[in-house]
Amino acid sequence: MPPGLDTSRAIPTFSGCYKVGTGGFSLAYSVEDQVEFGTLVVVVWDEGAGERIWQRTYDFVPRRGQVVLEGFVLPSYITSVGFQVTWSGCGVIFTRFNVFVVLDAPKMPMDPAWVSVLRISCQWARGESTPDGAANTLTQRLWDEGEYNGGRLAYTRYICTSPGNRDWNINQNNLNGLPPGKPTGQCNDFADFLVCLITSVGAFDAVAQRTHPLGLGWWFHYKEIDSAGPLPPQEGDWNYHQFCVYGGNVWDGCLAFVAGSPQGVPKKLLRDAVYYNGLIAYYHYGQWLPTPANGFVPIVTAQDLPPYPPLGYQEPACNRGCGGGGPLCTW
Amino acid sequence: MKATRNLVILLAALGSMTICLRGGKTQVPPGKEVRKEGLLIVNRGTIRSLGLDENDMMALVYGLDEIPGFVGQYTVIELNVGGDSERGGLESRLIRAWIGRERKAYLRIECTVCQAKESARAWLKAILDPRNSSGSPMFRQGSFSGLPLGDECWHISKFAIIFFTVGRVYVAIQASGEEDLFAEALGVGIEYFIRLHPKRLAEASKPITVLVAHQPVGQGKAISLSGVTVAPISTLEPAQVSIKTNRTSKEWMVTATRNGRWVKVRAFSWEMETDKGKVKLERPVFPYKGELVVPLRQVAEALGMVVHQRGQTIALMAK
Repeated sequence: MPPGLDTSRAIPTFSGCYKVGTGGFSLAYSVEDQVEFGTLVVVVWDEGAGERIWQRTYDFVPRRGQVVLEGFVLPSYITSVGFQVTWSGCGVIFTRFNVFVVLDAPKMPMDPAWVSVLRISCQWARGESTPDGAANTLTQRLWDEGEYNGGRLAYTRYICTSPGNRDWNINQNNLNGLPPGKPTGQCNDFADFLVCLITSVGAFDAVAQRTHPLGLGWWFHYKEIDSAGPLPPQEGDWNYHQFCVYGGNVWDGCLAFVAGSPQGVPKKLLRDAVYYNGLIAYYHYGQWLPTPANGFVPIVTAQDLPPYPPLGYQEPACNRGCGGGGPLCTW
Repeated sequence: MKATRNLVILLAALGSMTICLRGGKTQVPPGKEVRKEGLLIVNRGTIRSLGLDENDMMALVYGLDEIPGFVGQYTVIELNVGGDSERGGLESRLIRAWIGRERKAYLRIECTVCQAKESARAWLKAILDPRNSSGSPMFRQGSFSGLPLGDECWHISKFAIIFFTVGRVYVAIQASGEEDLFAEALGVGIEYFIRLHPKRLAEASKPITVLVAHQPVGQGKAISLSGVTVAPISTLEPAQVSIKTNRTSKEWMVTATRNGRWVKVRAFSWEMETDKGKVKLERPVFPYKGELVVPLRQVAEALGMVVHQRGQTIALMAK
């Protein structure tokens, strides 16, 4: 079960999600051993720093019970906290697990959040204690670690859930710890992944948005930008661009501005002024019309990418009139 | 906390993985996955299968240590995607990535094997659709060099990205931080792998017979890539050609000598050095099963042989 924010104080032995700075935890345990009493040692460390942050030894405790983690308070910043619990009785056994420390309850589409996303977001945003700080750091790290694929279809599949909406199907295989696992894709993938990263740590209700509606033949020339990966900065043409928005501001881990002001990876830039000026050189056809107006929450699913139909590419009917309320159109 | 139970579960999982991976030949059962040191294999074919296993998929790409200057990073193989339902598309995919040893460069090769040639073309068509690919205004038809590659080929200039179909296989290559022609050279080799693949993933090329002193050599490994015959350089050995290989992590070079003439070829290079200077090649050099594959006629002629071709037979003769 992927974790939502656990507001109880009973530490589970699976990867839970807890709010920064909380304390008052207890740990229920049960050990199969031949002796009734033994010693329990609980060690907690910050996985990002590798530093031990709390330790306690409980002597002569029963093999089943509950101990209070007195004085243990989660860090006040995003991180992943590891636990090692060791029982010494007839023999010595131990178990390890970790919990994620986030700013607040994960939000859609990461409600509940995926452990595979939290592993990345809590590592990348480790140390951040504010929503903007977390979003900015995650955006920068996505650009640092990511690899733009030249604007080719990658992990997106068309699902009409609202006008202009489009699904991104997270491919778990890219997230589950393949070393070191570069996030790869086009702008859709970067934007939707960034939405997942930001919402997984409970920063705010980030959504995805595109520069203009699809299917109208609109396209634009972008200014010189440095896309994620080792390619040198260049300008060019795009049919559209997708980015992450919240409250009129844009975060975009797919590219960095290399000229004008501000330079660097777009983080909390006013969408229609600063971000627009940094990105758009001119429209060949069409106009800047960020769509849908309120953005959209990408649909993420554990299902693998569906293959294409065996007898040729079918234009989805919903391409012609992708409206809300209708059935899902997928291929 | 049930420490004992957790511990037992962990040990059981590790044990099964060890069994699956022993011997390097994996046979992942339908509905299962195996993971080890940068390798992930998932088999989704609980109902239907394409009849390819992970070793068939790995035969489509270069080995992790076969690209000089690069280190293998990871491999993902998804077998029988769509095979968990009775209807719909069915395909198997491989993604393999490398990173540059010294320079900031990144290679990523994807091969998708479909049920039919039309399905591979459907992939291409979907990628060219401007609603799917934001960068499609930058896509250009054909290869970087202008030479044919596969059945249908497209590229993205400056990005060193090339994607094409060969039979029922869709291939995408991204060589960020490298020259465009390097990406294409990688692609030429992959077309060779596909055309020689034992599972008949593409229409088989008409076999080419290479004769040295009237004896056939290098059988099955000489094929025509859009009119240019390529073959492992060892094919020339029976013609009194001595082969010396220098393979390091940074370079894979073969020197072939014959009667005082010599040729040096390097993996993924579009030219060769000879005793008479540099020569541009009709097809790039690429590795295949531990040796380098070269454009046969050009290398043979540079070594002082006369090449006669009649139909599907090529005779290499001393001058």
